[in-house]
Amino acid sequence: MEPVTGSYPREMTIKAKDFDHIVEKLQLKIRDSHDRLAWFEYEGRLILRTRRSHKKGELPFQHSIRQQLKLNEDEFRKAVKCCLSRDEYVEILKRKGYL
Amino acid sequence: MIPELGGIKFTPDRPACTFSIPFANSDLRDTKFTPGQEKFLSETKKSITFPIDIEPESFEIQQATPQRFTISTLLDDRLLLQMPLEVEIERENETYIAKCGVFEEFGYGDDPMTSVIDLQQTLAELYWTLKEEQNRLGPYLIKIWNRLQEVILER
Repeated sequence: MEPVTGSYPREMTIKAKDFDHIVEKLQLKIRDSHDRLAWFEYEGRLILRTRRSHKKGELPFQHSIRQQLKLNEDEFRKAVKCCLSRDEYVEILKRKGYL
Repeated sequence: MIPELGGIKFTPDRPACTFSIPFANSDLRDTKFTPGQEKFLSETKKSITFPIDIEPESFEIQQATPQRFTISTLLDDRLLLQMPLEVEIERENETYIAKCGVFEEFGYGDDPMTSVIDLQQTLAELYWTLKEEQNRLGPYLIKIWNRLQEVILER
């Protein structure tokens, strides 16, 4: 599997609503626990997972979320801007060997 | 020889042991800490005992963050850790993030302890979820599930 590499601009932050937009755009399945858990499913299989806190506002651990979604910086930035479709995400994961 | 720093003893032959920070101990008062060490000790609530170990190889606490620990429990009575897991603490703004690289999982909180506790809960939750869904996991999560099974035992 292709590693997620590259330097990450730590000053970039995402908010809970950005996370929710990513979830909606990539059609991740949500389950609320002590956190909001998000699972990416493809053809009936669980592929990846990530999560965020229930708190609103900035998520200081966006770097970990990006890594769990197996996206590089540019791909993640695209996802945050809601410019990454599910189909594109599937292609990225196929290319990186996660599908 | 057991390495010691300001009353904190490390036992290389028992990497999963707990340790305490005896702030009332007079020998600790004589110890010179760096500002980073002072901050770390202050943030770990001064005099407490907790099931987290500083790596035996880390004879000195160099700075507050990142800081490496190992955890020896998952805070779930049904689960046993067969070996300690390495955790790295990072700080981003006011939040501490405890990362467990081997499972690519993290916990977070307002202080280092809270972030580790969150990580422990998250790992336990991940274990039960992957167990429940083990028949429909993709290749990446199969690897994570296999690693979890190597490290975690059900009581």
